[in-house]
Order: sequence, then C-alpha cells, then structure tokens
Amino acid sequence: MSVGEPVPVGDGLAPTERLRRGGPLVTELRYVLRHSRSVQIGLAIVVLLLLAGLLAPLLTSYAPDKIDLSNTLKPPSHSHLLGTDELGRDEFTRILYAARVSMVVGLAAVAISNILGVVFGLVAGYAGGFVDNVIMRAMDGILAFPALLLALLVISVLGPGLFKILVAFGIAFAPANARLLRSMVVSVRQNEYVLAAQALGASHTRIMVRYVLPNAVSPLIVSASLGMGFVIIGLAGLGFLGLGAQPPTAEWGAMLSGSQARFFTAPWLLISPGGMILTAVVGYLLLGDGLRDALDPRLRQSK
Amino acid sequence: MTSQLTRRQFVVGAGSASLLVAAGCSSSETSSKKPRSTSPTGAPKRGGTLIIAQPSDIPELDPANQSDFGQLQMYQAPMRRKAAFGQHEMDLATDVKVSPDGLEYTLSFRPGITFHDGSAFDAKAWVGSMQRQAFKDNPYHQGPFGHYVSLTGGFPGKVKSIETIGPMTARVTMNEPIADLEYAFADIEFAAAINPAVLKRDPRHWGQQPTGAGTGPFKFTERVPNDHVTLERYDGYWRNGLPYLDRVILTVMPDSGARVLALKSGSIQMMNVVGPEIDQLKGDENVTLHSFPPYFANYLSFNNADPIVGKPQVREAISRAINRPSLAGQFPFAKEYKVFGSLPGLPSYRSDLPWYPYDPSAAKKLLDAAGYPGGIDVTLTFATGIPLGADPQLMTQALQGQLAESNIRVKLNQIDPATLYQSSFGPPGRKQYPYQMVYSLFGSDGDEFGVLQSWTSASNYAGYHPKYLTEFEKAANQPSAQARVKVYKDLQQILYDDVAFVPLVYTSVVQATRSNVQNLVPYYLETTWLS
Amino acid sequence: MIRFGVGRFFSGLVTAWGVVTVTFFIVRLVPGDPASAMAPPTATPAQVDQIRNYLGLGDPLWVQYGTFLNHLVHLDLGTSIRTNQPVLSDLVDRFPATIELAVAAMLLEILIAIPIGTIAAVKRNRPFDHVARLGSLIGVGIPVFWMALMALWLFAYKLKVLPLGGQLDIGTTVDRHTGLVVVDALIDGRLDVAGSALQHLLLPAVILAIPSMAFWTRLMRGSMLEVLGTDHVRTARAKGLTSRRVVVRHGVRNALNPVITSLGLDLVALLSGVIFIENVFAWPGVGNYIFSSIQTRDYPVVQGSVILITLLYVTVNTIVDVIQAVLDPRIRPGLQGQPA
Repeated sequence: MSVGEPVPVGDGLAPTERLRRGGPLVTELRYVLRHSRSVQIGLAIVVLLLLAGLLAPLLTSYAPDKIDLSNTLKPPSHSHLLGTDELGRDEFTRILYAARVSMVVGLAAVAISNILGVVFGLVAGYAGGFVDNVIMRAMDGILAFPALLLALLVISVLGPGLFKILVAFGIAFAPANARLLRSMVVSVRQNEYVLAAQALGASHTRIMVRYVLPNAVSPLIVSASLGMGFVIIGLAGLGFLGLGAQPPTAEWGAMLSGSQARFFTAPWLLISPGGMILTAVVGYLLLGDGLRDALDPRLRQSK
Repeated sequence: MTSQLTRRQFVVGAGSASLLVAAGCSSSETSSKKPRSTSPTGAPKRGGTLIIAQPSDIPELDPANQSDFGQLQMYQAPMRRKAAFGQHEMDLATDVKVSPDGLEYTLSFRPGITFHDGSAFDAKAWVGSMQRQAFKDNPYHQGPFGHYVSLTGGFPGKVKSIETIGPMTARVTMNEPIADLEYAFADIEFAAAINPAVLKRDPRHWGQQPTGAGTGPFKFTERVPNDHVTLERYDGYWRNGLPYLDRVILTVMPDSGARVLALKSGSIQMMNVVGPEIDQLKGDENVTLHSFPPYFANYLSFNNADPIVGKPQVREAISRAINRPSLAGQFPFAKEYKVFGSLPGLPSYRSDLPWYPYDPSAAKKLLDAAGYPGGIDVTLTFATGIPLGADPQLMTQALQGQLAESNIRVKLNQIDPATLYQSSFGPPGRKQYPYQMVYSLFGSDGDEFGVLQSWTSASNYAGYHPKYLTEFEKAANQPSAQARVKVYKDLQQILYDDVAFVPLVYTSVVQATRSNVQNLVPYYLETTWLS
Repeated sequence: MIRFGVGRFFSGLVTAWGVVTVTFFIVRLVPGDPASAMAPPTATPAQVDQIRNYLGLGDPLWVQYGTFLNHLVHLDLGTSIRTNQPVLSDLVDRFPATIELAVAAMLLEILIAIPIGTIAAVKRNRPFDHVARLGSLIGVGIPVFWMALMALWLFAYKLKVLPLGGQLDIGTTVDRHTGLVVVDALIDGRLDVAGSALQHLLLPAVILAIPSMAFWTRLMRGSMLEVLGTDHVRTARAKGLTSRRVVVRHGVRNALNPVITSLGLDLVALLSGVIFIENVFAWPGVGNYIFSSIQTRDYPVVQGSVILITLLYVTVNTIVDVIQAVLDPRIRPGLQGQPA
C-alpha cells in the first residue's frame, strides 16, 4: 500500500538527438508501443478499464444504487454476473461504476500533479537561481509528506470526500513531477535552439512553452502512468478506512471494507473488488514500467 | 469517550462498542436460554478458561466510569438483575426498604462477604464507594461519574445524604424521589462496593489495575492495555461453590473478520455478534448462537425544529415510504414494528397503536399536501461501530433506497457512536442539536424510565420537543410504579399522534459461544462452565 | 565531511519546518472554526475549548503559528478526545509494538527483495525475471488490508500453522522492559515465549512487507541493471573476474545505493501500512491506534500521528544521507541539500 511516490528515471536523452529523430514525443511513443510487451499489456488493461467505466450504463441493465432487498447476497449467476451485495445491488454494476470513480479520481489527481509539476518545474528550471531555489525548497517540504498521510491530514481537517482526496493526492505527487521536469528543463535550456530563440528576442513564456516544454515532457508520461497506479491503491485504502467515497457511491476500497465481514458467506463480494484494484494497479504499473524502460536509453542500450 | 459512558446511558442509547458484551447480556435479561435450550449435560464441571473477544480496549475498570462484562464479574452492588426481564434479587444486601414518600432507602448488608484482598466488606465500605461519587469534596471524587449525574442530576444532586447507621446497615436519603431508583441499586456503575484500601492506594488511577477492589466471583489479576484483561476465580466468594470457571480472559480483537475466525477455530470461546457475523457462524456445529428476545428498538428520530422533518405530515410520509417487513428480513433475528409500542414485555408497552403500513403512493400524497410535490432532500445521520441492533450502514442504505422511490432523497451522514452519543446526553452547555434525522437505537434492561427518556428528551439524538419532555417529567415525579406506567402509556399516545418518530424493527442481541460453553446466563458468569 | 553533515542537518531541519508549516496552514484552511471542525461535531464545549486553546485560535495568525511551533518543540501533539491522554504518550506506549513489526518487515524485505532484484537483473528477460517482475507488480497492486484477512484465514484458520493475531498467545504476558515482546521475553530468559512471539510476528510482518518488498525488488532490479551497464563493471568483466564476483563485488554494492536512499520512504510505507493491518491482526500498535482514531473521528490523534511520522521520515532521510556520504564520498555533491 502506498509505497510512496513513483521513482522516476530521467530520460537522459540528449535533446539534439531527440530532435534529430523527429517529433519529440509521438515518434518515441510509437516506437515504444510497437516494441514493448509491458506497454502493450498495460495499455490494454488501462483501455479496457476506461471503457468499462465509460460504458458502464451500456454494459449493465442495473443501476449501481438500485436496492433490491428480496435479492440480497445472491452468488454469481446468469442475471447477476458477480452476484449481489447485502442490499441486493448488482455487484458487477457496482464494480463498473466504481471503475469510473477510480479513473476520475486518478486522472484528476494525476492531472493536478502534472500541471503543478510542469508549472513549477518549468519555471524553476528555466529561471534558475533564486527562483529555482525557493520553488524547489517548497517542493521539498511537500515531498516530505507521503501522499496517504497528506490525504489523511487533509481529511482530518476538511472531512471525508473524493474531491479532497484527489486534491490531496494531486498536491502530494506534484513535487516529484516538478523535480523531474526541472532536471529536464535544466539540460534542455542549454541547447542552441533555445539560446537562438533567446537571441532573437522571443519572450520567456514563448520559449518555455514552445521550445523547452515539448523537449522535456516525456518522463512525465511515465510518472503519470505510475502515479495512476499509486492513486488507485491509495484511494482504495482510504475507501477501506471509510474516508473515501461515501455511501452509496460504489468504490472498490469501500466495497471491500463492507464485505470483509461476509468472508464465509459471500466470498464473491471480496474477490471482485480486490481483483479490480489489483488489475487496475498492475495495468498502470506495467504501462509505466514499460514506458520507462523503453524511453530510458541506458536500459535500451544494454538490450 | 467510553470512559465517560455509563451503563444506564448506554442501555438507553446503546452507544458504545466496548460495552457490547455487557449489553449483550443485559438485553438477554429474559434469557430464553434456560427454559428453551437443552439443559446442560451432566453436572457442572469445575475449571477451565473462558476467553471472550471484544472489539475495543477496556480503558479502565472503575465500574463507576465504565461497566463492561468484566466489571460485572468483579464488582457487586446491593442488588443484581435476574434473568427475567426487569426483575431483581438481593446481592450484597439482604434487604432494601423504601420509605412511603420514596425519600429514604435503608439497606441491610449480608455478613461474611470479603473483598478480593481478603478484607471484610461492611456498610462503611459501601457508603464510602457511594460518597466518593456523590460529593465533590470527597478526597476520592476523582472522575466524571457521569452515571451518577445522569441519575441524580448532579453532585450530590437529588441525594441528601449517604450514611452508615450500623455496621451492616446504611441509609440513603433524597431531597426528592428518583424514579426507578430500585434499578440503580442493581447497577454496579452506581452502587458497586469498592474496597476502601484500593481507593486509598491510588485515588485517581486505581481503576487501571484494580487488584483486590471487588467482591464478585472473579478477581482482577492483570490488565495489559490494548491487549487483554485477566480475571481469576475468587476462592473466597461468598456464594459457596461458585464460580466454576478458573479464569476469564477478555481479549481485544478489533477486526470483525478476525474475531469470527477466532471463534470458529476455537481460540476464543465467546463473542457478541451482529448481522453478517451471525450469518457466518450459523451452520457451524462447534458454535452455538444464543439469541435473546428483542430488547433493542431501531427507529428514526427527528429534529422537531427542522423546517422539513418538523412537519408531522412529512414524518408520516417517511413512515409510509418504508417497507418494514422487507427491512426486517435483512437482519438476523429482527422483527418489524407492527405497532407503535416501546418494547414488548415492558409494563407500559402499547400494543393497540397500529403503525402505518408501507404505502409509497400515500407517502407521495402526504408530501404533496405538506408542500413538497417534488419530494424532499434530507440528511440521515447514523453511527457506525455500534455492535448492536441492525447493522447501521446496511439499514441506512436500505432506507435510502426505499425512501428514494417516494421522492425522499436521503443523504447519509456517518459519524462515530461517541459523537452521536454526546449529542444526546450532554454536554449540558450545548444549545442546538446538529442533526436533522437520526437512525437511533435504544435498549433496555427492563428500565422503562430510560426507554421513554430516549424518546422524549435528552437522548432523542435529533433534538427534543418541549411538550414530550414535560409529559415525561410528570412520570419522573410519580411516587408509585403504577402511576408511572399510566403516564408512560399516555405519553406513547401523544408520541403516536404526533408521529414523533418512526419505529423500524426491533432486534435481538446475539451471543456466540463455542458449543462447550454451558449454562450461559445473562450478566454473570459465575454459574457458567465448560464441558 | 563535517560541513556536509552539518549542512544536511540544517536542510533536514528546514524540511521539517516546511512540513509543520504546511500542516499549520492546512489546519487554518478550514473556513470558520478549526477547533469545531477537528472535534467531533458535538464534543463537549470543554473539549472544543481544549482544542481551541491548543491551536491558540483567537490570537493573530503569527502568534498562532508561534504557539504551534512552541507546542511541537515541546513535543506536545495535543490531547486525544477518545482516551483523554496526550497524543504523544499514547503513541509512545504503542510504538514498541509497531517498531517490532516494522523491523521484522524490513528484515524480510532485505532478505528477500535484494537477492530477487539482483538475480532478476542478472537474468534479465529470462523466466526468473518475468516471474519476479510480475510478482512485484502484484505485490504493489494487491490491497494489504484485503490480503491480511485472506492470509489469516489461510494460515491461521485453514492450515492452522500460525496463530490468529495478537503479539502472544491470549493471556500470556511478559514484563515490559523494552516494549519489544520478543526482546523482553529473551531478557527474561523465556525462550518458549520468545518463540511464540516470533510466530505471532511472522504473518503480520510478511503482509506488511509485501508491498515494500515488491517496491524494493523493482528498485533493486532497475538499479542493478544500470550498474551492470556501467564501465567499471564491464572492465571488471573484461579483466576476467568471474561473473558472480562481479555481480556481488561491483554490482550489488553500487546498486544498493538507491535502495538505501529509499529507506526513509520505506519506513513511511511501513508506518502507513500498519494502519491497515494491525487492526486485523489485533496488534496493539500505533496503526491500530490511528485506525480506531479515524473510525471515531478523533482527529487530533490523526494529525499528531501524521506530523510525527512525517518528522520521523525527514529525520531518517537526513541520517541516511549523512551515512551514505560517509560511506561513499562521491555522492556528496550530488545530494547536497536535497532530501531523498
């Protein structure tokens, strides 16, 4: 659980080399997708989960909160693929809708952490000096908070809720991204084309957005994918503690905590949410790992 | 929190997880165990250790602050409860006389009783135990003594004096009568005898390690915080030949799943069980479920000052939108409320007030009439972690689903029992009730005063109504039991007419033991043995 | 060297200050009265006042901030609403049990994760590697609270090879010297009790260790791969040293660096992990305390615990950095002023 922040490995690719190879990001990703088994499997899982969440209303004829007290705790059957829970709700339906919750919270948290990371990392790396120092020390302060504990702290003050959790995770994961991007920016900044753009009098904002960012952003894709994995398991943990999604919202962790006590009588209620958490996390980690391996030249060489 | 809860409050409010074992037994007052179940095979056997699991730590063992199953084995009061609902028998005392005006209680104590350190029990010891609660200037007045306050209304409250009038006789004098005080003399949290030498040893923290403090069948030997409390057979116990068990261990097991595993595997012998746990233990041949008659009522209470649920029409609509038979089917041993009565078996129980049947279309019409054609949005507060009654999370979600069909959109607000509990019994300075609508639970030892109190006043979690309270207070001032019953019955009529709250189901408390645990009776383990 | 140590100490101090400052502002973010928000909504006025006094509300913000720092310097983390004890003393009481669990978990990690990660790297893309990678992915992804009950069911209930929770058999006690049950039993010379304590320790420690183990395996494998690709390992190989020697002498030693760097992170992972599993194993530690405080919304405890764990994390990171710098002077400049 919450092993903490993903440990990103810099891409280390010389920007000139990257440029030579054409479009900085798209080309690389296309290459990776073709060659890495991990990425293929991970991507397949992730896409399936996203589809499951998005298409939930089409995949099931039940509503996630529809209570049917005459049909409680039914084992898996034709009409209820994964059985029903203690309130007669269709477990399969709830699993699907819970996938939505995980995806939305995960994507939002990762988006927040990336946006914050990009802004601070870019400015710190590009500006250097005092600004750099101030921003990075502040980031260190936040980085010292493990994500789960930061979320606990926020919830202990503001009360439970998904929105608070995603903001907390977003903030907790931001410094790692900022640091990652900063190190990329620092190396890209020295490049001739950046210096040339400066000489031509382009504005700092334009240089940062137009020339520096596109060449520095690829490691963030790796960390975003790993981050999704960590957010999903963190969310499940908080849900288990009763601090995440509040009833009747379906959420994997919360569903698990409710069914621990039905261990002997309704094991299907334990297996499906647990399995979904596992699958989702493994999917994102595979994707992230694969991307990292493929994008990291040091590892690529030794193949 | 738990250290401030008291037994009477608990029984009314069913508030605390750590009290569950005691409660389990308290509600099994009219245990059908003895008459109904197969009588114990053969003669009682001596020896053995009974291990009881409970979900949270026992923070201390001063019965005035916390009364748990363990304390009930260690301490004794002048009287004690009998297995039959609402009845008592003498324990430390041989006789309790009440003066006709209800102001003077004279207690005669049994000679030959000793504390666990061997010192003799006498009237002075009991009076000392009482005085430390009652009087602020008593050097041993160290603790909240919430139970005492809830009974007497303060320090010393309605009590005027507590004194010895002979070596084995004591007298308690009141300024004004206290309803149902007989029950209190059977409460160890109010009237237990504590060894004066132990009080002297450490007036403030003696409850942490109360060696030698009680007179009961089991003596305290060890307490490891967050882990376990061990009690051992007291050889000098005054009821000859008892207890049968050598040792009772109360061990802390917070996780429900782990407790079930422990009972099924035999590493514990006894635990209190609720909903899902009961299902899991049902077909296990090594486990016996002891189900006792219903003494926990599950109901919805309302804040009468609320603009929406303050309207009786809305409350009736809510009542009609609930399918009680279907609810009752969800909880093991639960029965639906068909009438608006307190608890079956209580003298004041009204069986002649039929309650609104399930009728969603009528519910919608009522909402229309109340000015809410589009339905209403309400917040239902409930506490989790109360291991009694129906599983609150399940119950409230089921209610949420049922009410939604009648356009009553419920938002659930989950809080902990202590928080909910505080909203009923205190704090004295609190001005407003924070909840709109509460899923509540009360239980009874046979103490009607408490039951009605929970509906009318302090312990209506969502807020009290001055009218009900006035009626209720009338009862408190009745000198005779019959007169009180009359007031209680009238009060139920008023509450019924007003749809003051919505009764749902009543549940029984279920105790699960290994099958070798014999002769389990409510409250006391002194006659229990292992085969 | 001393300069580095002192510098690192101060930068750790700055980070710690950052942590408590962030905490301070999170608490002050609450609209309205933070004391009421922190207390259960209907705590007694006295209890709310206690929190209000503790937070110093009513004073100007900078005074509040000063009060806050002052409390921390005096190790005052507030008072638990549930137990009515100072949070710190409650935590201190329960810490040994958790330390015992965490240390056992860490030992398991070292004994298992490092060899597996190393072998996986050496046998890259061979079956062993694939199994190890998949295993480590599952280890990270599997919810511990879920696994805990499953493991209890399998090993304690079905197979009956391990006890059902607790630190010792029910009713057994050892005298408290260090608070570490295994150690206390050994001090008293009660070997059987120590053995039983170890048995009780095994299952929770394994469950606690699994996510971290998986994480370390991944880390070790990655780090090892990098090291094996570097020049001095290639040179060593070229010199004709046997492959095992190269791996152990040159590879593992260098590859361990990032693993040691993440010790602090791992400690936090373990301390967050105990929140989820101590409850199931009836383990009387900090995790159990935090868990039940969460359940009862005893937020002063949650906050105090979070601050304490985070400060612990910063401290461990600082110490690890300094030790690493002592052992390997090369890494000093790179790490200057940067906590892991």
